[in-house]
Amino acid sequence: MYYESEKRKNLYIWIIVLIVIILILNTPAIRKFKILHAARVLASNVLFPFKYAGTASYNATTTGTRNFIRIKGIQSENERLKKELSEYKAKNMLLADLVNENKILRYMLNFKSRYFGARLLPAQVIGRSASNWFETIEINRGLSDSIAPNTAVINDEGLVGMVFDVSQFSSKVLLITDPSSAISVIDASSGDMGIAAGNSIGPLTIKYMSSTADIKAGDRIITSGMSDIFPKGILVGKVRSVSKKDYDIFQKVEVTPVVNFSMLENIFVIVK
Amino acid sequence: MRILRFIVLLISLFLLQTIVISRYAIFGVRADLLLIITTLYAVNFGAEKGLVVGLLCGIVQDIFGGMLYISTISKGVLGFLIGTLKESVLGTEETVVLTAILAATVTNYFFELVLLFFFFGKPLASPLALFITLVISCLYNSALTFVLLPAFKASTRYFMEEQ
Repeated sequence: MYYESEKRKNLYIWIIVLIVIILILNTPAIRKFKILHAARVLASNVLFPFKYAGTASYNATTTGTRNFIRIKGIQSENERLKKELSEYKAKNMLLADLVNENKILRYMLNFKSRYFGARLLPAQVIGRSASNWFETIEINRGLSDSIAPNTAVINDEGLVGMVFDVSQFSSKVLLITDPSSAISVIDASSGDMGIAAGNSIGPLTIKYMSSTADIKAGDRIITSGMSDIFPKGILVGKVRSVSKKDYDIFQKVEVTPVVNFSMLENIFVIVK
Repeated sequence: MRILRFIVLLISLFLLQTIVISRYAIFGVRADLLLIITTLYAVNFGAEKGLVVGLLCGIVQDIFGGMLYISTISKGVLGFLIGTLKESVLGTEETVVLTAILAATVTNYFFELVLLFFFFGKPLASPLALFITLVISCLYNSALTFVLLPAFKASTRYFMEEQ
């Protein structure tokens, strides 16, 4: 009986010690040594092959099942896609000309964009945040692919977020829906500027949008290019609602992101 | 050896959470598999084991996927509390499990909210979004618990047989 209570007492002491260690490791003075960050990078590298293999098998299973169900319509879909492809090829040729023309004009104007010559690095989502407090994803590109923190991430629909933590083979991306995310944006129609902040679930909110700004539902919201992270002109979302009160200096603007974050699989990292 | 086996199980569950379960978010809200495991252990094996399992689940979640080290503390405390309170909750096994999972979800939510906001200053979503997240989390975790319950019962025979 005495032995049991002594054992229990020891267990509690160890647990209190553990909690105290965790709290100490979280103090700003200790955090600057990045001990925990190093442990996390190591853990991330160890887990990477399992996450990559797990995601690949899961995707193969779900895609295989979906394809089997859709196989009946695949012939007609193939024909339609072929037509679309030839159409896009023609458009692409036209665009290539325009890009060249644009390059020459920029050169003539001595206009040097920070993202001129940036390349898009394709990446795959291999994990998602386990917690509801953080809107993050993990991708299969890291230091070995020249990825650095504070790099913009997009997909074919629009802006996804930015890289905030990089390991050897994988990186973590903060989605624009996270409440910590704040992006300088403009209304594509009126040019009015604001800061788009995430809200975990539901639409983004644009802060500091002047009450005199000419903004209406359906307007396209794009990145302003005012930060070093996001190039100008990436589509963020569409205005869902606008509300203002007479005495407020800012109006409340809600934006629906164009990216479907629950279906996110293939993305691009803008490597500078 | 038993603890090593258990840590491998927790890492596998964490992979399941990040690869599969987090994909199936309901209105952007994800179920918390490791919270469910902590609660089920606390309900079945009492405060001490609840505390140890909670701490292990939290460590796995924090080291392999977290940004701040709050899950270790919150899940450890929660495992202990649920294990302690379990004896005062009366009813059939299903009602005890349901009460425990709801209590665990709500407690964990507020515990993490306080730690994140007051200690780390993380910006949070709007009060309405926070409330909706809490309600959906309760429903989602409860539903997933009943799906996982038979597998949990079968696995405990294997993982706890040496005690």
